[in-house]
Amino acid sequence: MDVKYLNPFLDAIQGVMPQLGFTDIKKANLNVKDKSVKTSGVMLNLGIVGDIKGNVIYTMTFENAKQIASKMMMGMEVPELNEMAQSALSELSNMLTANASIKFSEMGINIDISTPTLIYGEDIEAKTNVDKVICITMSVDGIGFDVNIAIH
Amino acid sequence: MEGIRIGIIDDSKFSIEILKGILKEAGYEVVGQAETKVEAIEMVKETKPHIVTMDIVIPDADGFECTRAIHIVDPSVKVIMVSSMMDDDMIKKAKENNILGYIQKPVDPSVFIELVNKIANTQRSFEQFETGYFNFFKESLENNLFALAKIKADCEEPIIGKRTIHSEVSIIIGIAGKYSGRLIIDMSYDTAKNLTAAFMKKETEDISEVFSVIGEFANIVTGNACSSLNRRFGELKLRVAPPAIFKGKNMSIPANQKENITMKVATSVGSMNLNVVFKRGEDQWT
Repeated sequence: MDVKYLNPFLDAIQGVMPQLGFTDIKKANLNVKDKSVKTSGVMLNLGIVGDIKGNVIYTMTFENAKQIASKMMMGMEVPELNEMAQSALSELSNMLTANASIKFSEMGINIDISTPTLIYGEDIEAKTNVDKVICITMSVDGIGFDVNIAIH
Repeated sequence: MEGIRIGIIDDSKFSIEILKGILKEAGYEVVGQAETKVEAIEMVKETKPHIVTMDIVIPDADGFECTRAIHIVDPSVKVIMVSSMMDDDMIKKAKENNILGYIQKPVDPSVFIELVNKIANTQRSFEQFETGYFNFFKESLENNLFALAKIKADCEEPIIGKRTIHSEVSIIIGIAGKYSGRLIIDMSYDTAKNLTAAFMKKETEDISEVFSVIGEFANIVTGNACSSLNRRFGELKLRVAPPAIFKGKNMSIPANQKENITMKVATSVGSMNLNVVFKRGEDQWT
């Protein structure tokens, strides 16, 4: 996968997160995984079609998912990952990926995105059809989440 | 336009009355109005509008924040920004926040109604699509099970509504184009293994082979269904993303959309569920 495909996602995060009230947005790490993505917590999967194809999978721990959802809902307490919190996280993943698609189109790459699917549980594993998944670990106000990009 | 429900969010009663008047004259049903974000959330929950107009400044939030709050309640509500201020930066922010159109105040009735009509028309054509699409997926699943392994599918009546999928294996396939959606086929690991053996005409213990085979199967089912839909409805340009296969012992996938359609399928190699949902309408900047 071409590393230039990472920038639209980084730009989208930098553009969208401050609007939700996050101030300190950092890229904490970048690594390459083989086909599978594993987590205990929450995953959000969105399909990408068009000039490039693949999946983007956002992953985070339950605790961080609740904190991000709380921020999305203007600080409302999120004691459990209820339907409202799930919806907030889905909307966030949709906003980030839709904004990345705008950045892609500015690079001359046209893509469309599917609706998000949220998955949660202990020891869940996702397999995609690419050999290498690029994983960007982000930290927003100290809350971590991963963006796993499996496109080609 | 008959059957299209519209809500108005504006902190000025004067503006609300003007917008209401224009919409009513054009035959639209104004189902609710709100002057704050808190009222807007309640209004969307209670009156379920297809479209809302959004002022940029309301007392407890800005219009972008209010749009996000509404989309948490119902992601398919179409939002039109109606504001006295309009510049490139505002339009960029509107697009970033999944707002579909922008109108400057004072509102020119014909420009406003033209925009509302466009959004309402796509809503209409979606409703036609929505009543018919599931059968294409059902037939594709049945046909491919039979064509690839002579497996006969015994399908239950599809059920529309929210559901949480609990399964060992779920194949998720994103769909995008004029409408966006996703398909999930879920099953136990044993069923996945049996299905792979039936397709490959040999047993396998190799997990990655199983996942690759059932992923390809789901990809064919979705691809065939979307091609038929494209031929039937025209202009849909539905495209299918590569499969992503999820596994886990206590995995949950909440399909919270009330439009989600689930069908249980019994076969000689085990049972599976076919779940499909499309987001209501289009998300194109208008």
